[in-house]
Amino acid sequence: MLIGRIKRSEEGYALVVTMLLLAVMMVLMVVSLEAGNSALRRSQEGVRWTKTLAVAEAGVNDAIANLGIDRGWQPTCPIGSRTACPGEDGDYQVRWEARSDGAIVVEARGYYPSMTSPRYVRQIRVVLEPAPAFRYALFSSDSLTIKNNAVVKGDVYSAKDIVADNDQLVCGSLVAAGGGITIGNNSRIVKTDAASGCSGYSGDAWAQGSITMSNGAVIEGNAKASAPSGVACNAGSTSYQITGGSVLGNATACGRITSTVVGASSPGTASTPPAVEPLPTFVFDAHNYPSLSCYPSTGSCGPSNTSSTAASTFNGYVASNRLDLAGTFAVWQSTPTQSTKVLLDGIRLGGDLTIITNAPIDLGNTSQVTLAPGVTSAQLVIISLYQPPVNSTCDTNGGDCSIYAKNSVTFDDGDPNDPSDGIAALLYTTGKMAFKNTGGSPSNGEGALYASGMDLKNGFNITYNPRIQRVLGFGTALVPTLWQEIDA
Amino acid sequence: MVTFVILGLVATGVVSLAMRAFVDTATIAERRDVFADGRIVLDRLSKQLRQAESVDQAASTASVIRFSSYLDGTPTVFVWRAVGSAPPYRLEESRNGGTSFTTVASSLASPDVFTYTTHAGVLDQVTVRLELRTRTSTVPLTTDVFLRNATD
Repeated sequence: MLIGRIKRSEEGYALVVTMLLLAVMMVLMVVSLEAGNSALRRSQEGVRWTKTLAVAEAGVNDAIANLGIDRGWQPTCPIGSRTACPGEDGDYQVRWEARSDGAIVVEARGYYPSMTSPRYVRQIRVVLEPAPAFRYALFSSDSLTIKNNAVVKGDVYSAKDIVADNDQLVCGSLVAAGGGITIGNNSRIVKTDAASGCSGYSGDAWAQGSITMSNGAVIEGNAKASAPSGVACNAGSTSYQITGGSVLGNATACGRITSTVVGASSPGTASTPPAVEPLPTFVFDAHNYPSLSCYPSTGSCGPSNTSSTAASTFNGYVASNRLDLAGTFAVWQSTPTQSTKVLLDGIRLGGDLTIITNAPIDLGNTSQVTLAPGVTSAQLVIISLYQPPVNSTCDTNGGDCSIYAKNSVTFDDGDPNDPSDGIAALLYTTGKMAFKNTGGSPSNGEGALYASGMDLKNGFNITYNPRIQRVLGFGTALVPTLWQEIDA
Repeated sequence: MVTFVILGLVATGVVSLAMRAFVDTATIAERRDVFADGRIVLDRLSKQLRQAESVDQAASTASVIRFSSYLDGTPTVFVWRAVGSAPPYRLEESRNGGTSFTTVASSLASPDVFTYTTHAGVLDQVTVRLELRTRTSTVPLTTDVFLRNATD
């Protein structure tokens, strides 16, 4: 009976086996398809991860755009709140803060696909700083004269003429955008100067006018005497000429060339004159300075809210804190004159110091700006918006100057070969600036001097320091200087 | 008899197919794992390079890159290197300036991973090319990363 049952059941055996094997194949097919799907899913996850970063970047861009318009801007979706701003592929939150050095730190957190049900969260931090506005050691919108054995390490710009009197050393370049360049006896415009540790400059002289050199004067780089557009050049012309001294590089002049030229000499050759650069524009915004001390202290802080005692009150503060001065101060004086000037005689910096005022500033007589004990570096920014009356004079003997100093006013530059230490000073005025009898070994000012009009005499040595190239208030544009991805 | 012959043919075919399916599954799984490793490497390396301030050009070659960057906001010197004398090469990562390394991928067909591009005198672009070798093919994964913090 059993044998008979086996014989009967053989008839469907192949079908059963086939179905079993097909089932096994289907399982294997499912496994294969799943492996393929898994790779696809991983690829999609990678795309989403990348998209999350783009969402966070949208938050940063939002902050940059708004802060460029209004430094008091506050995000509607701050990090830590329950509010999210919608982005292209997800939501973001953002926050920002102003650092004590003026930089702005923006953090943005991106959520994919949404903040309420995030699959991925990435956070980035971007440090924003003003665009570089100060790249010259000396900048004058008027004629500029450097006298009496001064040493300038850095580029020099004037919107008119430049006179480098006898025995000057400029390790940098001279650009006279609206006039000529005069280089006195034995003055040198060099690329490098081993004695002062200066290197990397062009040593060029470029004028929209003639370049006139006296005996022993040397331009190590190229010399170019350009004429305004439309002027016909002539190799025999005494206009736009290069005369006297030596040019170690190439010399190109619209007029004649009588100098000794080591490189190529091209008289009667047209060239593009240097572009006229405006004095960087300063715009005061109290939001830029989180720890601002304002004089007057009542009302909104700004040039429209002045006080007849602002300068005297601030001078009283300086007198009390002269040996450890630091912070950011705005001094808005009613009807500012030389009798209401800000006095900074003999100050010692306990940290970064920024002074913004519409009053004149006097750095005093026979004083040094030094660092307080324990302070190895500081940035000094002095901004005077004082405009001397028309027809007033400001020269190295004083007068109605916006910023004035004489008789050995120097800035402690620390180790002259170390740009990161000592004081880096930016002295800026939309008016006139004069320095007399200053500098001298081993004291040198590091930083830059920018003014509408400038007169320097008796050896004020200035070394450009890039620490002052970015200063808040000059230009509304903020540029990222550091980009980091941090843990969310 | 006929039944056994047919059954034998079917069984042989099915087993052959099953074996092929096994091989394909293993191949797909291997490709998946190798590509997953490659993507992790690209994601991690991109994240680090994107924040980099500078590439140590003296210490960097096609198979080694050393750069200063940030790890969760902390300044860190990273070193990545492809090692081995023959394929498959290994890709190793160091987060302490090269003191110690961790293997992050081990199926590279070529040790030439890094290409450097300079703009206006600043090395601010690194191209990462991983040639991932599997049993059946070699697939390149490439990404260009711009160094956000590169300065001259």
